[in-house]
Amino acid sequence: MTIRTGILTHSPLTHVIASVRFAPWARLPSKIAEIQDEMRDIAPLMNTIQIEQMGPTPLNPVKSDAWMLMSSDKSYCFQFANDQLLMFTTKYTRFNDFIGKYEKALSVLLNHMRFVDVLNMGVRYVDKITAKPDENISNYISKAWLPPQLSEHTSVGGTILGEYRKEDSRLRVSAQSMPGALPIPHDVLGLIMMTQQPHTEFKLLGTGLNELILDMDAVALFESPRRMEKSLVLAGLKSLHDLANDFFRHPDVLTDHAFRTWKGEA
Amino acid sequence: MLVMDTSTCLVDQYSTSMVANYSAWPSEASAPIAFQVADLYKQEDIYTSFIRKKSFTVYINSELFDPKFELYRALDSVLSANDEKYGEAGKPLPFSNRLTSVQDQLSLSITQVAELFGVTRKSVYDWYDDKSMPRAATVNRAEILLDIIKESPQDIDLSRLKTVWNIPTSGRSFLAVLNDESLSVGELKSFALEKIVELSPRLGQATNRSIDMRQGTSHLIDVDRSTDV
Repeated sequence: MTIRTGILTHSPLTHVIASVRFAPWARLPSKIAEIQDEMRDIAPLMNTIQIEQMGPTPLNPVKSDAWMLMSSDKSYCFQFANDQLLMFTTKYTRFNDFIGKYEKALSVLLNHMRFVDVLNMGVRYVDKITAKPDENISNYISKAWLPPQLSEHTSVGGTILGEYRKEDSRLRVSAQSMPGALPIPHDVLGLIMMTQQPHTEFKLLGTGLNELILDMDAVALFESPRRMEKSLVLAGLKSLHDLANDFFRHPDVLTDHAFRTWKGEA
Repeated sequence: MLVMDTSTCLVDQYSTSMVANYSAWPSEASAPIAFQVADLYKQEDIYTSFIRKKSFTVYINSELFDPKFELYRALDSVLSANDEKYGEAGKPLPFSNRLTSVQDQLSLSITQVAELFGVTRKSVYDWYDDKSMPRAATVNRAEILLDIIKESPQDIDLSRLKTVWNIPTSGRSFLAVLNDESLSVGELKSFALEKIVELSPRLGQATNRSIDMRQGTSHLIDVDRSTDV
């Protein structure tokens, strides 16, 4: 039995996102300069984002603003909006390091915002699992997460969805093994777009035949806003991480071979 | 007539299957703005055969956000129509198929194919016989070459490219550009196309060049689009 805990030296993880959405705080635009100044030591880059949505008439578009603060290599990005603080990274090793950065951003925000009424929160992990040339993707993940094979049809690929519940939290899982499809979920792509310059040329290599995108999205939804201390928010995110991590490390999901490979033992 | 830009077309080709997921599964962990941007593409996808629809505009640092979007397909992920011409459904096309296409369209001998890819004649024969696979960089170069052939001006006779591909123009030859592994895919395509244009006075005029339809990815939506055009 392979030990599934610990750091995976060849981790398939590509993106990790943490988000807290809260009752809107309309003063954010006037405070963003100070917030940026306080975040500058870990996130010196900034993109100002403005969305104009069609309103009742073309002359009255609905506008919303957000600010994307980014580390110099853009491996850590923080999106501040008047109803959300979101962070994502492409460099993830330990949850403690990850949440430490989120805590910094949340602390800065709360210094100005004073308190927060949380509507929902989420922690999301996206893995790209690639089988070696002489292997099959079923060497890595349980067949339950792959499209069923039919004797008279050639399976091209597909997406298997699942949802799990634990107390107030949900875990939504998507296992996409669809050749040629986006290598990252399309909404995450939108997020990455916001870290770019306005005329960026995006180039993505489509998912290969022996690849699978495993998207694990742990969320906690509250019926009405909950006023929460910072420590409670962080504990909530930790609990969502645990939910997704338990799934990822579960013996019925990914195979022993997968963990041996990612640990560099296979 | 339907007017579409390249980026939209490329997005359209894959995102249809994701629409159902998306609507059934709004993630609370993702950004509303990310969703809105994703919507920009998704909505065009839904209505692509009928109308062009943009419901909102995105600005970054006060400039209109206008990304160029390309989704490259890995060699092994090229799906094919259920037709002998394209191989068995769902299986990748063998490299030899691409090589034949490059050789035919550039009218090359085996020796010239070897020169083009910087390998020996034996390697080329082995590729044709599917006895060995080229390096990933070579596979990519073949893909790019096919794109270049398709995208280069139709009135240029590419069958004469082999006679001038070693001649430097603006400091570098076509082959030097093609074999420069430091270039990104986009740069390589762009520079190589520039070289072809620079060399065009030496290449002469083409007569009825055929376009290789190697990717059998037709969906009904593409059929509609072709009909519109």
